[in-house]
Amino acid sequence: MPRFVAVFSKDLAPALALAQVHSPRVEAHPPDRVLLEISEREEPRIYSQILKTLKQPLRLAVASTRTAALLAVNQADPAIIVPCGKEREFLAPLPIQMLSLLGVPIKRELLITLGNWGVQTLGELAELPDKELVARLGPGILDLQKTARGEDCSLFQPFIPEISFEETQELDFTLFTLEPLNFILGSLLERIGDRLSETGQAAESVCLDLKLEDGSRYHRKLRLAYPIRDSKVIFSLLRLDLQSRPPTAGIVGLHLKVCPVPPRVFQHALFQPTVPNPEKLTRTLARLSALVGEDNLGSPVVLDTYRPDGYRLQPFAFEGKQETERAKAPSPFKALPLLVLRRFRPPVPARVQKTEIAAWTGPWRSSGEWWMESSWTRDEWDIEFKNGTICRFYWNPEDRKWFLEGIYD
Amino acid sequence: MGEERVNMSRAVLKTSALAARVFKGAALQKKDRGLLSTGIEILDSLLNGGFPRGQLTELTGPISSGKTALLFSAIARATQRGEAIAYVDAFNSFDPVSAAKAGIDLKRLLWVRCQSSLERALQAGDIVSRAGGFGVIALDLETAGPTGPAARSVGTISYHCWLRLQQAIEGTSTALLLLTPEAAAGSSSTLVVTLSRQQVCWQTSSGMVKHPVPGCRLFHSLGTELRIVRGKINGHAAFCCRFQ
Repeated sequence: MPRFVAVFSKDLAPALALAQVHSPRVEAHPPDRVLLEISEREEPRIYSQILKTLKQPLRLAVASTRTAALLAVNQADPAIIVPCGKEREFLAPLPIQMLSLLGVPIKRELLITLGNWGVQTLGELAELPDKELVARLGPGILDLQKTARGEDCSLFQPFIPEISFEETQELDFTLFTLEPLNFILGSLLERIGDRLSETGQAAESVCLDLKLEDGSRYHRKLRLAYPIRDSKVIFSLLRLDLQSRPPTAGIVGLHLKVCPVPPRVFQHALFQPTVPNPEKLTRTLARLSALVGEDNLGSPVVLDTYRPDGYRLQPFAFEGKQETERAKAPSPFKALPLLVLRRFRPPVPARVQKTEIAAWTGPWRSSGEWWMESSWTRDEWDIEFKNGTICRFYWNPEDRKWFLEGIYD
Repeated sequence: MGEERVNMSRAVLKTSALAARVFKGAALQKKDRGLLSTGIEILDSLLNGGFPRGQLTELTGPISSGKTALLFSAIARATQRGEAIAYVDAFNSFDPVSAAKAGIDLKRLLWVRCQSSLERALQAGDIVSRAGGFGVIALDLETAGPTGPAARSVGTISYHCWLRLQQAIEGTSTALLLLTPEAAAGSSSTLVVTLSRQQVCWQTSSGMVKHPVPGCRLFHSLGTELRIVRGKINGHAAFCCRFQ
């Protein structure tokens, strides 16, 4: 039969530390109580061990129920044992107001009503008949009565220590190249990856903070496209990022922190078209980013503006969808393909010679944002040259210049 | 009795709304499973379904011949199927507005801008080819200029680069489409098509005309002819690309 040991301490941390030494099942009752569950057989040994390490202002109580132990610890000086099966008798003389120490909400009106009835102690409350009590005060009073008898009304809530997903390492000597740093990063990430696996979480972002020789700090934060748990994938992304942006001085210390999130569940369908593997895609994007730069990579988003070439790039995050139902799939053959404009960025200053022009359309006036500094006005022309090239030109009336915007293809 | 039930079930399926959702198992082995539809019916008929997957296809031709329009049409079809697309843009000439109008779902498209560097474009093409999972990889090596450096540089790319790209996608369901002014990949490409412009048509109030008339101020469409230069099949087809 389990026994419960309640430890009282004004500071919760030493009580938690003491409890975790003696039992894996620990329940925290902030701000000043800790409960640990032990077996009846172990009770004398653990009791004597805790008493040896007990220092003021710690107090100790042992009982067969959590409720009795938590209430009894208030009476301990410095320790008290409630015999097995005697919890109700032990709690009987205690006032009803003591139930508030357990976090049980007691309305003032209820206390007044019980007081009017002459019920002042837990023992008196425990002896009242159930049915008549419920008839007068409602079904909620039953839990209160059970608690007054020393019975547990809630489940044991084990204390889960907070797991840190950070690693810090001070170096004995300065590192000037990335290779030895990669070796250290790999081992630190492996430890963090193990913790992520144990807790069933994945990394959403990785922060690397390097302490440099010249006193400055090098900080990089990698946001991952998908939550990743594999430490090798995270390591390769971090390595690629460091290669593209190496620190400017020798490294004397490092701090690595990972932000944990629940992993994303990705379920493939049987008839779904091929989609990129999320972890592989993240590595691919990192390699592309190292090659062409972050600013030249992503999915384009057309802006809601009439400004020519109005778009922005957003990070590419692909989530495959199942193929639409056959009946609803739009026919691809109804409309003609669209002639596409291949743009020059920036537009090329041009000089148009009429002798080379075969045909033209225009001008088409385009303007906008006249109320802002970024306003524009231009006259657009589509011109077919004798060599067959079809281009879009525009005349800028402010600069009084022609520009070649793009070529149709 | 059993046969009557089967016939009755077939009749019910034909007439009910389930008809569009129920299909035979043989339909799973559709001919176009290994092919990427071009989005243009006449070209799909010519190519027996579309561009081959797991192979390198070259789209060549002079500027303003409609090859980018053909590329966008194939990409739009692929995004409608829910596939991811990688667009490696060597000379930063991709126009998102045109792409959206062509029916491309831009959320499924990864645009890699290589800042006018052919080497970077080839390296990026190699990276995405080996990543896997992309339905279409478009390698746009066409310069926007009528006589730009690309026309000379593409021909100087060594053969092993194309072979490496081809080997990276072989056996996968990825279609690698290469856009160049002229054929450059040699025997690494399974299919080489060349496009040539035919005729610009004009829009009038009474319809489309082939020659400009007084009062008509709009281009309507560009006639294009596609010819298969190298491939398992031969032939040519003509189609039109409309102006935006």
